Amino acid sequence: MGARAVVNPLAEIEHWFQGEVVRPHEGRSKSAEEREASAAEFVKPSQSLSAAERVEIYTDMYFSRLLEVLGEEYSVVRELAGHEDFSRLIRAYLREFPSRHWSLNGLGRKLPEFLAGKYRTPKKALLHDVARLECLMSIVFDAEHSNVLTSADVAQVAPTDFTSARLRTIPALELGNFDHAANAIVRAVRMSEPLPALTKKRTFTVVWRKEWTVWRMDLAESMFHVLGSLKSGHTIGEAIEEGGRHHHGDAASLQAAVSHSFGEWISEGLFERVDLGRTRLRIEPEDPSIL
Amino acid sequence: MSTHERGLSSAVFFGMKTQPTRPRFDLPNLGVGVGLRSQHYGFVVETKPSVDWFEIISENFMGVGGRPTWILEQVAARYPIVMHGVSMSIGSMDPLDREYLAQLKALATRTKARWISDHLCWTGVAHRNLHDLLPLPYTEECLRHVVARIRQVQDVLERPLVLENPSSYVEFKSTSMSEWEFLARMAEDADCGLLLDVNNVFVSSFNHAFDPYEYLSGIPMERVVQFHVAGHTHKGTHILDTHSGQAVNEVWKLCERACELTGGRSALYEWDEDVPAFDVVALEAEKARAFTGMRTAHKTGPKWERAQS
Repeated sequence: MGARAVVNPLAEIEHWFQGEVVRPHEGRSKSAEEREASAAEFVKPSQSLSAAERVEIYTDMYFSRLLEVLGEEYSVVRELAGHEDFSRLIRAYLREFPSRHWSLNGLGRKLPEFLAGKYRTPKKALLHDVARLECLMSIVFDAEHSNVLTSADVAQVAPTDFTSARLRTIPALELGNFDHAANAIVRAVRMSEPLPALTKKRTFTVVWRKEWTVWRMDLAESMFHVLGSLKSGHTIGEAIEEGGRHHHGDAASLQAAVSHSFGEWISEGLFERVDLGRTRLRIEPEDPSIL
Repeated sequence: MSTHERGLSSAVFFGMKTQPTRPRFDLPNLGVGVGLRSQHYGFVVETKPSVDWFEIISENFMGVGGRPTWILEQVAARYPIVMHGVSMSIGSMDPLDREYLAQLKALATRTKARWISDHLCWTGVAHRNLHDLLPLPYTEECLRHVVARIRQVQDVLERPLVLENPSSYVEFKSTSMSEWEFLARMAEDADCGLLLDVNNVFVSSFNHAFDPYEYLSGIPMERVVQFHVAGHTHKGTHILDTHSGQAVNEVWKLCERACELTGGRSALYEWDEDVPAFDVVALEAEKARAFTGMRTAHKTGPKWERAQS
C-alpha cells in the first residue's frame, strides 16, 4: 500500500507559511518540537536540513532584510539606540505596522508615531525627535521635482503687491520643530563627529531638496513660523505677522531677520512660484526645466 | 557522488547539442545588460557607459518622484530598459493588486520597457507583504491558480508577462510535479514568457538535489526571453541566492548549455549585495556575451542631450 499523498490546499499553505515566517518576530514563540511538528506537516526535509530549519531560512531573511532597510532609513536612530535596542524597536514596530504595500519606501514612515506611543526604550524622547527628522529627510528625498524661483523672478513682484503675494514652497520641503538639537545630532553622527549635548533644547529645522541633494538648516523660531505660514499658503504679509508673534525682539530686528531669511531661502531654491493676490497672476521661473 | 555532482558530470559525458529553438515571442535580443542600481546612478548618467541595456527593479520607480525618477528618464532616453519586479506576487491567494498593475503599466509606457518580468512566487497573503520571494507548491491547484492570474495580468498589461524561475529553500510535501514541469505547463497554458535564471537553477538544484541539466532540458526554450546570471553564497547545508560576487564556473556552464538550447538570448548579470564599482559589474556581465548569440556590443544609444538648465 503506497504512502498517502499529502494534499494541502494552496491557501492553507500560504497562511501557514507566512505565519511561520513572521511568528518568531511577533513574540509568539514555539518550542523546537512544536516548530518541527508544524513544519513536518507541510515541508519535506532536505539531505542536510530538517523541515523547520528550511523554513527558518525564510524567517531569518524576512527580519534581517527589513531591519537593514529601516536601519538605512533611520541610521542615526540606529546609532543612538545601539544595535540591540534598534533591533528590538524594529521588531516591535513591525508587529504594529507590518508592511502592507508592494513598496518598501513607506515602510518606516510611521516609526516616529510609534516612538511617540506606548513603546518603552531608553532615550525615547531623543530617539523620537531624531526619527522625526530622518523621516522628513526621506519624505523630501522622494518628493516630486519642481521648478525653482530665482531672485530675478521675485524681483518682478511690485513692492505694492508683496504683502498680498503668496510664495509657494517647493514640494520637496518639510519643516520640523524638536525638543532636542536634532539637526546637530544627525550631522554629528553622519560626519562621525562628537555628539552635541543631548539635553532638551527647542530647535526648528527646514529640510529641502536642492539639485537632488537633501539639505537641512536650523531656523530661528520666528522664521520657522514665517516659512511654515508660507508653506500653508498664507500671504507674505500674513506669514510675517505670524513670525512676529514668535519673535523675541523689536520690529526692526524682525524686519532684518525677514529680509535676510527671504534672501537666503530664495537663493537656496525653497520656492517654486509666486501667486499675486486677487489677480491670480503667477510668476514662475523664466526658463522652466526639470533640472 | 551527490545527485548535484552527477548532474554536472552527465552533461559532460553526453556532450548534448540541440538545435536552437525559434523564439515564441517577437522580442529583441538586447545583448548583455546590467541592473540599474542606486550605487551607480551618478556614474551611469555622467559617463554613459558602453552597456547594451539596463534592467530596473520596477518597484523602485513606481510611485516615487525625485532623483530616482529623473535618473531613470536620463537612462531610458539612451538605453533600452527592461522591467523586473519583485512584488507582483503572482502565486498569492490574495487578489491581484490592480493599482500595482496600473502603475506597472504606466512605468512600462514611460520607459518604453522592452518587456516586463517578475518571479514565480508569492510575497504575502492577508494583505501583508513579506518582501521576499516565497516558495510555491508545484501542484495542479497552484498551476491553475497561477495560469489564471498570469492571463489576467497579461490582459491588463496588454503584453506577455515574463516570469523567472525562483531559487528556493523549501519543498512542499504536496508538490506533485517538478519545478521545470510546472514552468513548462504554466508557460504553455498562460502563453507567457520565461526568464531563465541559471544561478537559481544551480542554487535550487543543490538545495533540492536535482540535476540542473535535467531542469534545463525540461524548459520550453522557445519561451525563454532572457537569462539571469549571478553569484550566490554557499552555506554548506544550503546555498543562498544572494546575488553577490562572481558567478561560479558551474553556473557559467549552465548558461552555456542554455545558450546552446536557445541559440542565445538577452543576458543580464545580477549583483545586488556588496555592490562594487560599475566597471566591475559590467566586466562580469561581459562574460555572458558569448551566450547571448551576439558577437559585439550594441553601439551606444541615442546621442546624449543635456537638459536645459
